[in-house]
Amino acid sequence: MAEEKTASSLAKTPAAAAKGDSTLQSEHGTTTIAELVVTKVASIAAHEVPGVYALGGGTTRALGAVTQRVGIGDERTQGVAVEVGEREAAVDLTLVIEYGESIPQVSTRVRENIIRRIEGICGLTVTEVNVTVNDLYFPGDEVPQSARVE
Amino acid sequence: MGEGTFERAAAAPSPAASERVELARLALRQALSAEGIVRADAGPLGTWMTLDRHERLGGVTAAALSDGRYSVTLHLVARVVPLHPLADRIRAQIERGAARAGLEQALGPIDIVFDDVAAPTGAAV
Repeated sequence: MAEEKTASSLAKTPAAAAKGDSTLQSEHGTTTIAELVVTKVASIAAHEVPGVYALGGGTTRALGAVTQRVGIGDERTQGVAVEVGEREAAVDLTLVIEYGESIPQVSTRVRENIIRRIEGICGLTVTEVNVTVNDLYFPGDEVPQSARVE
Repeated sequence: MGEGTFERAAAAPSPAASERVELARLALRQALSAEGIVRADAGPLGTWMTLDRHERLGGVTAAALSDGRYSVTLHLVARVVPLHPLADRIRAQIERGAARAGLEQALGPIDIVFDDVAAPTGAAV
């Protein structure tokens, strides 16, 4: 990687810059990583952390469930917003955490794992990971309640 | 058009193909054989495709340069692995393949675009 950086000039092509993609240019050609890729890597990294139940706010998840059902949505991009530059990326994340987990600890682990994965997979330096915990998950939440009257 | 079709098209050269199409086919074949690549991506409208008389090579374009060479652009979906080293491996494979095929003089820069990543099973994530 160090050799690659010394042999290459890091520059962003106009098309990639317009789309927010990351581009590494060398004399043998360019490598472009789409913003969607960085978004998915961040999402997968967040899901890898124990205590994370879901990504996205209530509305996002409800809307996501509908769009996924009709085949146009992608669970792995909901709740994640990334800003990708030439060499750096910033991530904003909305989480639902399992009740009983330490929110500060889970948030720290999520932040560390996202930084590790994006730097390792995409070769980008992560400048910030902003985490918003907007809900808690209780294990009985998805069990439908029986009707009170018959 | 599915992934299998790309592979079959990439594996079966047509005798009348131009140097540009030969390079596109070679680049696609080498990219698809690289560990960590799931499939090529022709784009939602099939924009990234090289057409020959009897085949379509999805996910690859080759364009003439002013110096007589052809630049090759690949649009790929990869597994969740380090992407820059993977791109370097693909470039090296294509360059070796072009040398074996006697096309090294025609090969220009190889641009690689990772449009998406996929789970190890091949399903989009």
